[in-house]
Amino acid sequence: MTRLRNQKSKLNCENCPSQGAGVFCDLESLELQEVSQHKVTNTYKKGQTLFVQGNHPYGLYCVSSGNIKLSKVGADGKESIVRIVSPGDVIGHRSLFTDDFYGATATALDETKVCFLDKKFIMKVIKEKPSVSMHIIEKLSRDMGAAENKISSYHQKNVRERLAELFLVLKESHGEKLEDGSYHINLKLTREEMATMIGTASETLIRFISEFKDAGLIAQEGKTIYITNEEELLDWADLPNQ
Amino acid sequence: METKKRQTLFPYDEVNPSVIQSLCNIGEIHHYDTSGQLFYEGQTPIVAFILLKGHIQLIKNRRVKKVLQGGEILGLWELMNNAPSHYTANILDNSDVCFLDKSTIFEIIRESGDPPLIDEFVRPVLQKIIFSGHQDHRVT
Repeated sequence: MTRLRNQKSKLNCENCPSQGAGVFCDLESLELQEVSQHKVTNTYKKGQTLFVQGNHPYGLYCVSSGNIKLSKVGADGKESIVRIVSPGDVIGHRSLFTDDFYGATATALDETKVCFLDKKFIMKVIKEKPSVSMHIIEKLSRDMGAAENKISSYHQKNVRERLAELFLVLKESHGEKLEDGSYHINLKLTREEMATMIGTASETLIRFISEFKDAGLIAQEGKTIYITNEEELLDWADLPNQ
Repeated sequence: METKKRQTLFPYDEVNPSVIQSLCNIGEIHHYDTSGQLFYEGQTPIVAFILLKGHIQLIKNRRVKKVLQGGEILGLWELMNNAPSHYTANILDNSDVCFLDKSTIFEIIRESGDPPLIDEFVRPVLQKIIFSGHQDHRVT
């Protein structure tokens, strides 16, 4: 018989790659240790699901590294991505507070390290540590702002403007500035995934991506996208207050 | 498929029904209409699962190695020891499961005044945590 070889090496909150961006980052060392001891850390491979739309919420997921897509599947079976979650973000908090079933499916877009805290523990921490509550409120507010922007984009903007806006959003969340002033988007999305994020068909998206490339706004190498002309992109996105 | 049942997986795989009932009064019971993944091989389950009705398949290398029946507990040892599971657990449709998260298990350990629960659940859990390095939980 083979022995169960190892206990998994635990990711300590104090050494978390997302340090500074997470909801627990303002906690003192001892308090962080308590969180570290209680959490369950798992690595999800690309395509593995953390939770599924319609399932019961277990607790709060805190993303340490990697990216996760939150997608909803409609009655027609079509998937639409509602949010991309990055290191430092939390997921599952909305269902946790409302006691609703998960409203979306969370799927790893690349190898992703995620820490899980059960509902009772997170509720205890929230009650005892106002900084955690404030961070969660801040996240919820940002999510709500993003959702409101998305709704207004769908109503007020055409596909070209929505695509330009998507590139700018991805630049903010996953952009890495290169020496030549362009930005490398450090997130690989399929055309289908990008299409669902702006509510259009893949064919339409492909047509507009070609247009963006021809105009020198973006460049592409395989699935990797570079923002080459941010100013023009801002113009095309027709963002308010620009 | 599994034959040497008692020395496999987890020593709580079949628990006294009265203990199961006590645990269900504490944990959350949920119904699965459709099948779904509970956790993947190599991961630590985020909660322990008490299967009340239906089936859970334990899968390795795309093969079903064992099918759990009602009254069996899954993932408790791994959860409390931060250990990876050797299997992917797939719950089948029309199954009822009681979730026991870490906080609830610690609560049971701390506060349980129910003698059968202490004898059949709390004490073995504590022993397993203490002697975790010496246990073998693989299906042979």
